[in-house]
Amino acid sequence: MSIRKAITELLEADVISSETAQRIEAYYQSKSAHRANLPTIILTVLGTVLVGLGGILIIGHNWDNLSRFVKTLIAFLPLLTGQAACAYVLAKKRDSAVWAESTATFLFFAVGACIAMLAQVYNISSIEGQFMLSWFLLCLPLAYIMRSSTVLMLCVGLATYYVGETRGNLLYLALIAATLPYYYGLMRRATPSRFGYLLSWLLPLSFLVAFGVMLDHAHYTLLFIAYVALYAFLYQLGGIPLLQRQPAASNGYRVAGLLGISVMLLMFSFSWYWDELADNASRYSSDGSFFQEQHVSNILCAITLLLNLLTLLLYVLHRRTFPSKPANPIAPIAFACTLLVALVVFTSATHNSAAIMVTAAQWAVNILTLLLAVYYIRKGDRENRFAKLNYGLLLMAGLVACRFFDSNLPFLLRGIAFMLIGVMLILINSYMHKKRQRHVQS
Amino acid sequence: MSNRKTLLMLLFAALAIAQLFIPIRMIISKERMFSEGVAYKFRIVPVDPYDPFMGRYIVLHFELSTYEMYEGREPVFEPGQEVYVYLTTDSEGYAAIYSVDSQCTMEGDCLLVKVEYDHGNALLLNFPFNRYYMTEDAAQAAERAYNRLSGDRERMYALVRVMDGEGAIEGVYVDGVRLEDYLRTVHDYDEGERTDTADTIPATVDMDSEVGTEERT
Repeated sequence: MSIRKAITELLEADVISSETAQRIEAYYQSKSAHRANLPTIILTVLGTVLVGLGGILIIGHNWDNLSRFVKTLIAFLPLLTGQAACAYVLAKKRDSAVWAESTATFLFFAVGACIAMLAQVYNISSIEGQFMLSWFLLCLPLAYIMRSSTVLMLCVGLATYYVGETRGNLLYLALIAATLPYYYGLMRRATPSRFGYLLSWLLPLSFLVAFGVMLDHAHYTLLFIAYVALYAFLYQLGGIPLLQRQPAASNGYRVAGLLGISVMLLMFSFSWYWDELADNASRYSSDGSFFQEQHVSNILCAITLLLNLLTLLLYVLHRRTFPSKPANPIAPIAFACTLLVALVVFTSATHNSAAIMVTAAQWAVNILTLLLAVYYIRKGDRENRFAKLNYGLLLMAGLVACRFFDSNLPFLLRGIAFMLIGVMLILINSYMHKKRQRHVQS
Repeated sequence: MSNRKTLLMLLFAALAIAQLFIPIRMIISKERMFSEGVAYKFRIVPVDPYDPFMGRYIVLHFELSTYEMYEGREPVFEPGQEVYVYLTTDSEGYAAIYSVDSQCTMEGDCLLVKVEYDHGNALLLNFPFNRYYMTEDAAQAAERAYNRLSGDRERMYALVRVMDGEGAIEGVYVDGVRLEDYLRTVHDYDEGERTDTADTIPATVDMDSEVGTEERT
């Protein structure tokens, strides 16, 4: 509900006086006047980028006819223009977010265009990632000096591209670390920044991409459990006080963590995963290793353990900071999955009751997934939150669907079961809606 | 001007200098190579007809990318390892490798390259200059010319300037003429008209100028 509507409603209900209403309205108007208008910034930035690109395309049409000297001069034009514009903004329009964002973004692209054009003029083939790294290092300070969140987000994009191009160079971690002070500044403001919310999605997505690139040589059975550890870590990270202040949908750490864990649990609920895990462990145990590519597997195991430790640390800190809040089961479930994988690998490698362990692990994961679904259904009902309730219902429905695909039941029975699940979803949502309406009326 | 504003202006000035320094250093290094570096002609070998003429550049594959060693040699270099190749010219005036070493210690022109794979009796090498940038129209015309000329190892080569272990492509030549000028004699690609039928393509292109010494105006 908008502020204005809320004020009108309160006035009509005689909750506030007209004088109070005017003071509230004046307060919010003064806040929005100083606040950067996100749509305006985005459109202005887009406009400057298009102007720059249009210029490059026009020049590019006659590129071959120009001498090397002229091409070099043209390559520097956008860069010098961008630097002059940024210097002007720093000197005269420091308080204007629109000016700062648009000039800084223009300069960001001008730096990249200059290096790229010179590489074309001199036919320079860069070493993998070198161009991205240079561009990042020359532009990240711009984000801090000009206070440009757009440039910072573009730098996160560059770092992600860099880790992909270099197939997992660890320098990526240092590049991301360099963006964190700015991000921290955005998130600790009394008035939350919408750029902060965007970064709260961009950073976890960047981690997920980098993680996959860094470990793509690993066997997928180990990669899955490493991802479970990463998702649990992201979920727990999203629960720290600084990040928990933002709206739930803006907390990319929690959303990505929860969705990721759900998908992984559903995949673990199938027997083929545990059979494959056990098979690999027993196959390679004869030469003293657990998996093919032992070196990569060792690194993956170490990373999984480290992530679990960090998750445990965050979990304990969260419980101490919010002792009255009920414990969330995500982290314990992730630890349990890691333990199950370790047990299956160990028993398979030592040929010690492996078949029993495989069956037990699959059953355990199914029970854990069911418990997670029930937890969110109850939580959604208690807190009157449709999103949590429906997430729990969908997770349960997904688990049932996976079991049906996994089994040899006739189509008729499967069809009836799906219909029952659909009816259950409709009835529960309807019950919740009526409950909410009764609560409002009372 | 407040202290904070002064500090920001100074920081920005330092950043602007760094942003100019990197490209200028790139230019100085390459220009020095073009003016003082030793010129070598690298034969270009034919590639898969569906080769990566990606957008605005062509990918060059060199005959020297495969360097034959002696029979019975054991692999020494790791894939991705950087080595130096020592260059000379063969009897036909094209670049040839006479030695490979992990360091550049001997007399002569050496070039830093990467080992793609060491088979023992042969080395597969990746040269650092394998892209030649052209406009989209020129790249398409170059693709057609490239396919027609493929197999004729005498006609197409890249002129590379070598200095201090680095190399830079000065140009790609066909029959001693820059590729861009060659394309204009057989195919008016600016107008989009194809004139490069079998009857109109010259067997060789007559030229008077020396290779690799003319500055484009």
